[in-house]
Amino acid sequence: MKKLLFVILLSPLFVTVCYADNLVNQAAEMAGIYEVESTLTEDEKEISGALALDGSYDGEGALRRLWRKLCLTVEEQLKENLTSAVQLSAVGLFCSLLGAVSPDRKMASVIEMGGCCIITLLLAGNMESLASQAMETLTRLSDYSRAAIPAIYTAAAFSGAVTSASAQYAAVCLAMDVIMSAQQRFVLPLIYAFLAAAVSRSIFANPVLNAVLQFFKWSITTVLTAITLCFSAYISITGLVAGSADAVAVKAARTAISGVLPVVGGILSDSASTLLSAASVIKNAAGAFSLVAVCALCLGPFAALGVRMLLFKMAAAMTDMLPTARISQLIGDFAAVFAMLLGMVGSCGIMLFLSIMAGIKVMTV
Amino acid sequence: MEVIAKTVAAALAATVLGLLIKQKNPELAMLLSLSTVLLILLSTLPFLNDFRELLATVNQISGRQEIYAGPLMKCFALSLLTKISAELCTEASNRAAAAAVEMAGTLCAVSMIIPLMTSILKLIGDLV
Repeated sequence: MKKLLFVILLSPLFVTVCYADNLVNQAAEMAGIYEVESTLTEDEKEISGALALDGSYDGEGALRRLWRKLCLTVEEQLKENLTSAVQLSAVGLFCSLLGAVSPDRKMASVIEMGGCCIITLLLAGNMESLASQAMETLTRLSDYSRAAIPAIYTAAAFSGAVTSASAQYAAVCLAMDVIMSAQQRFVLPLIYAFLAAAVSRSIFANPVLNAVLQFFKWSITTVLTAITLCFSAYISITGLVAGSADAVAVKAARTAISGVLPVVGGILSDSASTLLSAASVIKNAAGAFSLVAVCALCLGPFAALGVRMLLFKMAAAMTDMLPTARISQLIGDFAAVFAMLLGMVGSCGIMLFLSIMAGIKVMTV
Repeated sequence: MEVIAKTVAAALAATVLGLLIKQKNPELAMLLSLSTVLLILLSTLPFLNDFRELLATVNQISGRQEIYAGPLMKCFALSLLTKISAELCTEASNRAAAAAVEMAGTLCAVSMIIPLMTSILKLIGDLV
């Protein structure tokens, strides 16, 4: 009895830390999971929140912060850019009034030409800053993809999907690199060419320039759509082909371990499954965090480009009521340029989104 | 309304008088037309104040000064001057002078906006 009491009293001295907790952090560091958070700026970290690998990531809170930030950014952009839209309408109104009272049709045409030059000069600075903001966002998305995608696919490989994770990772990296450089080297120059043709058409009305403009617009839209569709199809097919092989391999390994080792085989097999599940939790946590981070990255440019596009479409609609067709067309073309830049940034954001989703959806045990 | 009524009355009176004296003294008829035109233009000067106010509002909204709106106002003034001069020359059966005035007016108007077009062409060059 005394011995039993003695053992019970001394037993708290032998309580020690469970090292499995530290193993999760070590595994996450080995997979580079924390890069997913450290690559972000302070503003983006504020929206995304803290990365939690135990499945307690506050996704709802992050989405609420994202929505609030979007509303604030849209409000700021509206206040900044409403003046531009009003300026354009004022210039259009002034030119149409002068043209209407001008007794000579040729002079009215020269006045309209002058109005188009004024509008182009008013919008040129705006255009430059937005194009560089769009390029900066593409670079940021590319840099973030280099941090997030290896981390998520490494965690996916740890969770048992060795074949599919490596196949999809190779596919995603190749596709993202090719597509992002194609956008920077091909789509952006096409957008600039469209703008140059639009300005030339407004000054020197010419049916050939009309056809050139339509061709550029069609090319840009088709290239962006084709890139996004091909990327999604490629990722989906790669995932389908490689996914089933991993499921078979993991089941076979479990059966082999349980069968070969007489007593502890089942325990080992269950422990291995637990480890794979833990790796899967890490992967899903990092994936969810990355999805919100990508939205936070794209938020600023989306708001800026989207608001300008809508305001300039409104200004084009207002000047369409005046007898200054060229001015209204030019403002509409500038709105189209902002829409194309938005499409370019949006397609890169969507591709990164799809890559991360593919990593999260990789077969789990 | 009063101004336009007086303008119409003056124009019609000058036309009738011009028809009467044209056959005997075409030079006097020409001078009568010129003085009628000047009188009518002077009577419409107060309306230009409204345009000036509109221009000031546009400048205030656009935040840019006469650099942009100035050339357009000059083009407008040129178009008025060119049209009236060409018509007076045509009335005096001098179509060659009328055509030359029209061409000169168009060239002057285009030269007003050439600095704007040069800036645009430089911008296009930078873009491409």
